[in-house]
Amino acid sequence: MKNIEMFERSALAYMIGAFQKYPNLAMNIEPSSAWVVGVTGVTGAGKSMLISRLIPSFRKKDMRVVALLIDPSSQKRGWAILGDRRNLRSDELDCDKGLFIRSLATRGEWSALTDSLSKIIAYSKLFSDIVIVETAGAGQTDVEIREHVDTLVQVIEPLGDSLNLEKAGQSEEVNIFVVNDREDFKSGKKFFTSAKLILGEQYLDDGWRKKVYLANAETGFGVAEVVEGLFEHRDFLETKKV
Amino acid sequence: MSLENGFFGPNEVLIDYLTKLNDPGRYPFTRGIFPEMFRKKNPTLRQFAGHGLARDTNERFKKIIALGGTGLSTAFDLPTLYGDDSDAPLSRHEVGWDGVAIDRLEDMDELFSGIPIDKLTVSMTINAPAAIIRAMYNAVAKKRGIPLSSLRGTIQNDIFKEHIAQNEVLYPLKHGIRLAVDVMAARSNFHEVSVSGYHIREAGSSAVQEVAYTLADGIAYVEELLKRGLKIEEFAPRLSFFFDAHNNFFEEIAKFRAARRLWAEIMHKRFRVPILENYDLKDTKLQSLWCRMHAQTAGCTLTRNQPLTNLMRINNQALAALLGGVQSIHTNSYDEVLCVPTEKGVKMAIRTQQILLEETNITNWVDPLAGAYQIEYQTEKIYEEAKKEISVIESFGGMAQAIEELYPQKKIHENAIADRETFEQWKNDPNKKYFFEQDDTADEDLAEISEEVEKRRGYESEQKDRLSKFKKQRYQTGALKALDKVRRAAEKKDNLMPVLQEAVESSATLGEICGALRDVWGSAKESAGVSSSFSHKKALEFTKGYRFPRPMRVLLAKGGHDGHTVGFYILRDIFQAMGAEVIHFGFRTTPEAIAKAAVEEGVDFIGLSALIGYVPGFFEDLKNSLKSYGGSDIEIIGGGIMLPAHEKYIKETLGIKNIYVPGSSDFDEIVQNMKKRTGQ
Repeated sequence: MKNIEMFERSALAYMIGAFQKYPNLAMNIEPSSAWVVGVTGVTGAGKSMLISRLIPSFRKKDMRVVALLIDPSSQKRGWAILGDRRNLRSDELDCDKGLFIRSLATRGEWSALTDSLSKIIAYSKLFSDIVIVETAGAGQTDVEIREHVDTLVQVIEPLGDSLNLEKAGQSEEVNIFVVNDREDFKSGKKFFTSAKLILGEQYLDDGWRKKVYLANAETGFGVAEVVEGLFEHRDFLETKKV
Repeated sequence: MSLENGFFGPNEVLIDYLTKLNDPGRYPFTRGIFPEMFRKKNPTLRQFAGHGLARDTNERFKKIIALGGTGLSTAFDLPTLYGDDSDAPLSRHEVGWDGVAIDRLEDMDELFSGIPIDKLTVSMTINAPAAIIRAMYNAVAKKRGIPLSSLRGTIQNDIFKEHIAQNEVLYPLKHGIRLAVDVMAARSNFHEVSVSGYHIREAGSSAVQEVAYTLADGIAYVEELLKRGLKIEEFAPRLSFFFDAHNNFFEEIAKFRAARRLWAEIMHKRFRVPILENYDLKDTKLQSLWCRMHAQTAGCTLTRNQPLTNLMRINNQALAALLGGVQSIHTNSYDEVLCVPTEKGVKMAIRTQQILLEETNITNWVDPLAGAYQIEYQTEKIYEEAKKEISVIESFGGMAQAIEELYPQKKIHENAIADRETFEQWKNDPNKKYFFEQDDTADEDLAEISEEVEKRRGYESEQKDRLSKFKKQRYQTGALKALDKVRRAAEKKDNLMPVLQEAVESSATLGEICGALRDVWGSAKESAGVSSSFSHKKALEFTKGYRFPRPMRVLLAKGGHDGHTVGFYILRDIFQAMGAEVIHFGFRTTPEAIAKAAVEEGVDFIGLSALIGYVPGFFEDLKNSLKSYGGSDIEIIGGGIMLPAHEKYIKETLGIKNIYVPGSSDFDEIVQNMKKRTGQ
């Protein structure tokens, strides 16, 4: 199994801190072919739970994973409780040396982070095969995250009328939708069916037809299909390049 | 005249004797569940004990019986309480430490070797894996040819309060409830649940919250059991309750009385248990109205600097329990804030009860404080307020739903942080200086304690050796098949008890059985946190507006299995108030996992609470792991229950300066140290 070595780990940890502290820090970072996947969705939609299921799938393919978990800071007092990392904990992942996880606070406006985020991601790519970026929020954030990632996943709760999905600008740039089929949402399947009919018919400018999946991150149901879909999108991007 | 003047009179307190009090043994049982109370039978002197391997606790049990204990009470070690075997990575430094290590049926058999379990009542304090321990107990009886109906005692088996307060949880709540109720549904003479307010109170709740959440838990169990098709009188007589005996003397007495009345009314009005005119103490309908209670003195009130002064606190608390009319009492040991009670500590605890029972003549009188304006006022007040709080729980749809919404957890945290603030102010009062004063004469006692503690460090390797030999020698296929059967049964709805007993008899271990259930049900989800706008406000008062000059990063974790979170959450609120970025790494962590996370997160501090076990071991392991991950420059802030010698070792040898110990340090110290650390 490939690992992120001790010096790579501390270098990465240090540089992420530096980039965040000094957004103007200039550094020439070698380009890397590592794949960047963004996972977005409103708070509580189940993003971390999904990521906790995705990581073992990538690790099984011997891919080194860097996960960047972004949470907002309090605008008023600056503090932040960064709790997403806890959702990624398991006996299997806790001491996995092929995995690097970093929690990032926005420290004010989201845009404050975006300046450093491209450098943080570029640097993370040097030590990994896949970088997963988790962001909270909707709308503007998603548009901003789009430019940093190759594949954008949105986790949606089956709440409200699925027709609203069409109106929300947030879904425009998304490659893959995952409807979180938690037990406490009774309408999961119904919602999924109509979401698939609406969103699954849409194409992005580059010709990618959006995919919609139903998954339950708590039980692992449907996660294998999501992973398959992710790789399909990666292959799609590869063929585009050629 | 009124509360401000410190006394009440007939104008404030209207005692409607028949509806609010009635004679002892008569509905609503405010004055006691039995007509003659202690005149007929003293409360059971039940001392909680357990340490080391089964044989060590067995020896202690026999000593307790010889000293005059009239019932046994088993403390299990943390790995057992979390359904892990002694060889699990998380069990490191905890095996046999604060209770007895039980991995398999043979351990259980040895624990009660030479003890007449068909004659003595045995209490077992275990919750999430209670079903498996209970199955082991039945298997031991079967082996000895003892009919199951002659087993008497109590198994705590209260999964709600674990989710609310103590966090010793294994599975998602609904599966945990199912497992607990499978135990309760048995037709036995055992108290298959002890609905517990103790841990809720120790986690920082008020007396009213303690009563309200405990009785709301009781309501939820009754409803679950009714859903199983049982008749109320088939199980209700065996429901028992467990409360804290805290410092606020009269309030505590009133609390026991109020809880009895409220529970009787719930059983009568809500669950339609009739009040029979012509009654007989053996009538299960009558017994269904009883709130039988066990009380334990409050561990969280003890001081560490002058352990002997705790004897007086414990005596006062036990007196309140006695005047409140409880059925059994556990008195704490004066030294347990330093370590797990030593033999001398246990002896003094037993003597405390004996003095109260035998020398004061209190037991000659039934509910002697009834009719006192002040007691009746406070009883009524707790009764009314608890009733109101129960209706809030009901508005969520019941306790299970309220827990999912974190409601009781948040309310307890709010009360805990407010209490903590009051306490830190209290002890700064010049008159209260005695509380923290160091007692030099304690050194002699400490030497004795240290010796006993040193012995405990050997338990881990011995138990692990025994376990690994056992695992090699047993009939593997039998164990594996039994575990498979457990998995299949967990997917279905039938009562799991027969399958669990078969598994322990087929030499599957506790950890393996709990693991098999986890395969099917998954693990409990850790709650996201209990902070609220109220607790933020309190934390800002603690920090007096101090803020870090730059965004500090702190990782907070609890090492090992322990789930006591009061300090953890208060610390989280305090760091937050100082403007830190707090990485909530969570509970049940190993030092290596903490070190890896801390390095990746680039934190300035790690806050590690390792409350129970060989505490220096956790910090030593963390230091070593940090080194191997290249994070030696990260500063550690630590907390835990430890001996002064261990504290010294951590501070001087390991170089971890900021160590906070319950019963002797406070949060203000942390704030001051942080200020210094950042050069202010």
